[in-house]
Formats: sequence, structure tokens, C-alpha cells
Amino acid sequence: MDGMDIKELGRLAGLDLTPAQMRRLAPQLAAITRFCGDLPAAGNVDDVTLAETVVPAPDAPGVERPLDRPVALANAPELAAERFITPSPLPDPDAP
Amino acid sequence: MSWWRRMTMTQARGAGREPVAGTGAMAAAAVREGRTLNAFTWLDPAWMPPSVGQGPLAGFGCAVKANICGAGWPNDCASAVLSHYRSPYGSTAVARLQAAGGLCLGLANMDEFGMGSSCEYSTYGPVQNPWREGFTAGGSSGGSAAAVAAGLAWFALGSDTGGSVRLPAHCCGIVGLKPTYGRVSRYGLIAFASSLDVIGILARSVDDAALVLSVLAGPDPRDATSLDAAFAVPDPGLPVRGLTLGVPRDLTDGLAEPAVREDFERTLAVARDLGLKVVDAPLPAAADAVQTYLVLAAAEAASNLARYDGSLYGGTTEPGAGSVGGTAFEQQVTATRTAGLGPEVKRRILLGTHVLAAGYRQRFYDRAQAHRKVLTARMQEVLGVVDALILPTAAEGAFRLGSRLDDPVAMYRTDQFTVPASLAGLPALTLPTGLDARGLPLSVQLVGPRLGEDLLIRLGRALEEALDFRSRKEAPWHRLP
Repeated sequence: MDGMDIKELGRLAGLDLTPAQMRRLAPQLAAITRFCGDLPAAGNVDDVTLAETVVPAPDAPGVERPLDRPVALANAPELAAERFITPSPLPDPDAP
Repeated sequence: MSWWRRMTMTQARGAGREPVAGTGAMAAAAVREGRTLNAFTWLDPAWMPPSVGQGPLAGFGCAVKANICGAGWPNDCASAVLSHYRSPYGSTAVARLQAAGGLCLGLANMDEFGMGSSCEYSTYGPVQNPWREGFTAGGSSGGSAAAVAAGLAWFALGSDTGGSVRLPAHCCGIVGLKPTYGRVSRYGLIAFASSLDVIGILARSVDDAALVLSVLAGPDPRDATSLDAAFAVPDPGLPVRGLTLGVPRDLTDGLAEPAVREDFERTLAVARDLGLKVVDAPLPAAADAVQTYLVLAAAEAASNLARYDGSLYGGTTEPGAGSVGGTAFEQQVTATRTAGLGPEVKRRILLGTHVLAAGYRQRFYDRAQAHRKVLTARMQEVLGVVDALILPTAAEGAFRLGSRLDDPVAMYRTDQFTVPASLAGLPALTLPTGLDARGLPLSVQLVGPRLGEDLLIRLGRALEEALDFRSRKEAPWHRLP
């Protein structure tokens, strides 16, 4: 991010950043966005698929076996069916 | 050493001690010792009601994190932007505690709006670790954890978005429980990141944490995300032999601190001695969990904190004479937010605004959402094969205050072991295990399947008894008068 970007971001966020604040924030935000930008592409958010692999067979009693292979996962439509927790609560008009 | 600092709630009851007598001593100690630890932002002069109610928490006093509302309380979230704010209503969590006879001593210090891992981003100043002055109590529920560890509260409520109950529990050598997302109503919890925030418990023992959860858990019509799932404390003595713990070795093998590695392996050996199976459970999807969490939490925070514009909550700052651009109202909003919000909050709002901006959203926010789904799916699958995951809560013990303020990325990496459970909405229990070379606490974290708190309590009890951490003479609850 350069100084112009940070000033504009500040304006969008309702913050009036001084030159001193921008000088301090610029390298910090650049480091953070570099860090966060390392996320590799994982496909379209609504179409996440993974390579299928074999689920380890059940072990005999008393045998410890590492889970050394990834576990097979469902295809995109099931993942997109909100089987997992990603709720969005309605805003509470009484909450701050 | 005072019994009310040393005993757990369960022990106090068993020994025939009067809880309210201990609570009274704690309230007096909090006034005497408050400035040293800086654990409280506010002590309620009217904490003692005309008569102590009945219920499972009757007479036991607690600290409540400053972002959990009580009617008439100064819930400022340790932020200047909410200075002079008094909550007009109380949270469901506080109401349930009080209905069960619990007594709220005051509000616990925290990182501003829950953003931080060290309790150094508070407008009230940092919280001191009761084990050693000059070291962090962890964040953002550092005040809650310090109060419990110093014996100034029987238990405390905190909030956990990316580890903010578990990390302070780790730093202060106490138990921290992060429930399943939705298990405890968020009505009255001032929002940071709405898809991640949960109200959690800091306690002196696993049984104490379970008791408090049994009071708090359950559906709430005022929180649309609350689950129709009450919680009952599991019967004592349920066996753990034969249960399986999964170790994400791809995460833990990178531990640099020898004391943490040794403590973790020793805890695994204790688990095996209890008859637990310990197997490898790789979580490659967790390698990017910190970045994923940071992007999503910042985006949600930027949205949630947009409401602090000086028009509804807290004070208003008049724009300076040199203010230019926009209407008079826009200038007032900008002046209020610029003056009232602290540096870490500003950093996260800027980051959140950036990752949602046109041209950047796909690269940051959408990718993070996809990674969250992958990680959640993987953790659910693994927890269908093992009973629980076990890993350290943090890569090291409490760090020195001020040592990470100039390096935000290093501060964010503190949460590397806690954010996976947060992203997946799963329950997690932090349990103290030992001390590092500096005499500061270390801990492990158990992560269970969704709504698997009863399993975590069973496992936690067994490990807690075997490790006997609470009897350590170096602990503040033994040293303080």
C-alpha cells in the first residue's frame, strides 16, 4: 500500500490519518497484506473441491495408526449447503 | 495464603466454606490490589445484592469482560470511543449468571474491542501477569484471566474470537473454555467479528468451567445464532480409557521453544498413561489459518465498528478548525473515530476495508472464505475419526510487555494454534500443564467436535487430576496473602 492508498482507505473507514500515522502504518499494513496475501487460490468459494483419497480402514482393537492420508470430502454442492457453521446474525437494533 | 484465592468453587463447597464470604474478601482485595494488576476497568460498588439468591452459582463472585453488557454498566470495551457509555440493557449471559445466584464484581480489562493478544491495547493500560510483573496476561480477555489467577474472582467471563479466552488462560495458568459457536447467547456481547465471537469462561478448574457453562448454555430467542442445545455437567468418574487424541504433528513439530516441546510431549505421555490413544492427525489446511482468520475478522470488524460514529454511543469529538471535506456531520464522524479508536483497532479497520474493496475482495476475502470452508470440513472429518485434537495453546509462555507492539504480524502469529477451532466454530479447552524455563505457565488445548464440550470436560478432568498443576507453590493463588 502506498501513502495515497492508506489515506483513501482511511477516508473510506472514517479515519483522518496524519502524515506521521501514515508513515508508521504504511510498512505495518504492507507487511500484513503481504502476510494475508500468501493465501493460495483454493478455487471458487462456491465450488471447493479436493482430490479424493482413501479413508483409512478401521483398525483392529489396540492398534494405533496415524492418519497419514487426507480424508475424502464431499463435493462442492454439499459443502455449499451450509453443513458447517457460517451464520450471519441479523443486526440487533438495541445493541451498540 | 487465603482459602478464597486457593480453592476452586467445587472445593469450597465440599469444604463447607461460605462462597459469599470469599467473594467479599475478593472484592476488598480487588480494591487494594486493583492498580497493581490493572485487571479491572470498573468495580461495582453495589455488587452485593440485598440477599444472595439460590442456584448453582449462589454467592460466587465473578469478573465480566468489559464488552459483555450489564444494565447500567460502563461497557466501554476499553475504548475511548465509548467513554461515558452506560449500557441500557444487560446481556443474556449476565442475566443467567445472576439468576443462578452469581455475583458480578465488576468489568475486566481487555484489549480494545477484543482486538489483541496481549491486553496492551487497552485505553486503561496493560494488564500485568499475576505470575510475573512485566509480562503479558494474554489477550484479549487478559483482565478476566488475571483476576481469576490472582484470586480476585472465582471465575470470569471472557470473549473468544481467535483465542481470546484460551490464550489468557494459557498465560495465567488457569482453565479456559471456548464453547461451540452458538452454545452461549451473544445477546449483549458487543460485536467484534460476528461469525467468530463466542462468550467463554475462565475458571480455576475444569469442573468450575463446566458448572458455569451449564448455567450459560442454551437457546435464546434474542440471538438468532444460538443453538437449541443445553449443557449438563458430565457425571464425575466417567472413564476416558480407550478414547483417541489426535495430534496435528504438522503444526506441533515446528515448535521452536524446547520447554514447550518437552511439556507437550510429557502431557502426551500422561495421556497415554491414562489409557488414551494418541495418534497423528495432520491438519495441512491449518497452515494458513492465521491469515484466513485475520482477513475475515478484520472484514467483519470493519463492518461492525462502523457504528461508532459519535451519534449513538459514547462521546463526540468536534472537528478541528482545519478539517476539510465532507459535510459537518461527516467531519464530526471522522474526528470522533480518529480520536476515539486506538492503533490496533485502526489497523484492523483499515485492513478490513482493504480486503473488502473492489479489486481486492477476490484475492483476500473470497480466498479466506474458501480456506475457512476447507479447514472446517477437514477438522470435522478428522474429529469423526479421533475423539479430540490435542495441541499446545501457544508456541511459548507469556511474553514481555512491549516486546511485540512494533511487529503486528508477530503478534498475530501468537494465535496460530487457537484460530483453527475459532474458524471451524468448534469447542476448545485450555488446561495448564507446566512451567517454562522462566517459571511462566504452559498449557495444552483440547479441541472437540461440535457440541462436544462434555467430552472435553471428561478429558480435561482426567488430565487435570494427573497433572495436578493447581498445587504448584509458585502459583499466585498460593503466594498472595
